[in-house]
Amino acid sequence: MRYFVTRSLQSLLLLAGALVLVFFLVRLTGDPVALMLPKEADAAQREAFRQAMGLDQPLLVQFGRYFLGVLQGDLGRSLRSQQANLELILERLPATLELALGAFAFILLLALPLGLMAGMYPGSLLDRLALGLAFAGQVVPNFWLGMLLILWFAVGLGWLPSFGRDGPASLVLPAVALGFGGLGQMLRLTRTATLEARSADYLRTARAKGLGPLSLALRHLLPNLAIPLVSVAGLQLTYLLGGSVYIETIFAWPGLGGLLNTAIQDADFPLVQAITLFIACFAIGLQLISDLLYAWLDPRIQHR
Amino acid sequence: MPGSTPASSTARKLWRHLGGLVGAGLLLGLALLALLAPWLAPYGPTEGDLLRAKQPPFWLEGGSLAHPLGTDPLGQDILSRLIYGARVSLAVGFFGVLLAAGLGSFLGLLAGYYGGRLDAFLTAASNLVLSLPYLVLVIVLATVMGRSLFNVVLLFGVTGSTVFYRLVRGETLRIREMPYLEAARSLGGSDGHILWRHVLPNLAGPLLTLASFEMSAMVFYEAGLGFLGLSVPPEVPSWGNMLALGRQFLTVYPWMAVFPGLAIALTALAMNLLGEWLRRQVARH
Repeated sequence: MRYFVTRSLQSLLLLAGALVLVFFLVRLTGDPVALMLPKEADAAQREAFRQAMGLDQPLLVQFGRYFLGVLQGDLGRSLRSQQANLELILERLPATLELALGAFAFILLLALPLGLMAGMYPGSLLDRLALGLAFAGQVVPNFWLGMLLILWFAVGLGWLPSFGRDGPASLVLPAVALGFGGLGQMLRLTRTATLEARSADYLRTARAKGLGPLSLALRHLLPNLAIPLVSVAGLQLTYLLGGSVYIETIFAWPGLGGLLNTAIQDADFPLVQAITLFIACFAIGLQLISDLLYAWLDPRIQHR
Repeated sequence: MPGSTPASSTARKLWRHLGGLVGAGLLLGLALLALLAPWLAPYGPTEGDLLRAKQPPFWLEGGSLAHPLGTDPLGQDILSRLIYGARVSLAVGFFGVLLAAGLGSFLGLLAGYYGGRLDAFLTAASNLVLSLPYLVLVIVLATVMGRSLFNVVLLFGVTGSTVFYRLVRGETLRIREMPYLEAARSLGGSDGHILWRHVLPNLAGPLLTLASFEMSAMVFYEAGLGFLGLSVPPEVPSWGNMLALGRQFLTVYPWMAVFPGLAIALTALAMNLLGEWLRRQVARH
């Protein structure tokens, strides 16, 4: 129980840190007005903008307003559309979640069976292929892979749509492009866990009972993989959330990453700040859930 | 290996080091390309000939050996731009990692050796940075800082120092209580001397390994920023900038995007091969 409380408090501190960090990021150059207004704006326009945005107030007052706003769920307004930032974000969130979960599903579908087989037969041809695939994931940039997939499967073969979000078929290419980079970590993890479990007593017993390799894998290995898997799930999803900026841009996927990219091109800093804060909180929350789940599944780590 | 003959053990040794050799060779080749670009590239990086624009690579119909990898819509030679682009990627990877490793190791040694408030503060800061999606963090920072090579190196150097900090702090904590450090201390060695001569050398292996992987990550992230139009200025030939342009013409002139991506993948391959080899060497000792 103590672990759960301290771990949650830790996340709360991280959240506060993220709040401060994001506030100062946008003010890093000293004059946020210069970043937000076009170069042609004259001094009077700048001053009017500064007052309208409350940027003429002392820094502490600015931070206080921002902090109170965030506590009430007010993330400011977009410069371009004048809509509330939170509204814009929530509108785009489902698409990004769909993409990230699709990519995660792709990772699991490939990494679990391949990692299991590779761990059961280390040194085999299949093991080498699996490790090669894991290595390829580290080496091929996802923004390039996304473009190659469009060229092969959308333009060349015409099997799948090349952009937009329109049904399950349109999810395939972006999810594969996004997930490919995370494949290696999950595959290696599954393989190592299987390798370790292979020599464990419970597996020897199961084998002695005459279980075949398939039921061995499904009934005894897979459940034991749940623990290491949960431990990296938070990290993986955070990574996928970040990578979605490229992938959503390439595939014109209407999610948060694409929104962030447009906001940056438009110099819409209030929106950039809001999205960054939102994603940061989301990532910290994910990590907390993943860690708590991990501790619940494996009570030993609470006492470390 | 039991029962292996001398000949097969040599072959095995070569096989074991093959990845490291190939990685080092590739990296050396890339570094030479970058350094000797003005002499090796057939054209200048921004030398455009509109009459020769949009040519495909030589093996496709309409291509010619005058532009082996084709040209872009401004008639600039893709191969030449790739060779010049290696400069940006390798500079960011090399100097970025140098800064990150230097800064992270320095702070990690201090925090791990002395502990206290400094340690608490630095560890909290690095945990904060590491808990955010890294890509989003660098995108926002790059937007605020503006497009220049110096800014990109600074950005990756500072944010990347967090992983080096974490490694060095942890190892220093572990080494701090070892008997040989106790001996060095009782012989009257100053803290600086102990950190520099007794702690840091023990970290060389893991540091080098991490540096190879981080270098590859920085090459990726620089290209990614360039792809979003946030890295070096658009007129600078970099692989990321080439990809950004190539994406706009993806379906009509695919070679514009395919080759820069291949260059990035090859560079990452070299650095990862080297990193894997280093990791195995460190694990063996």
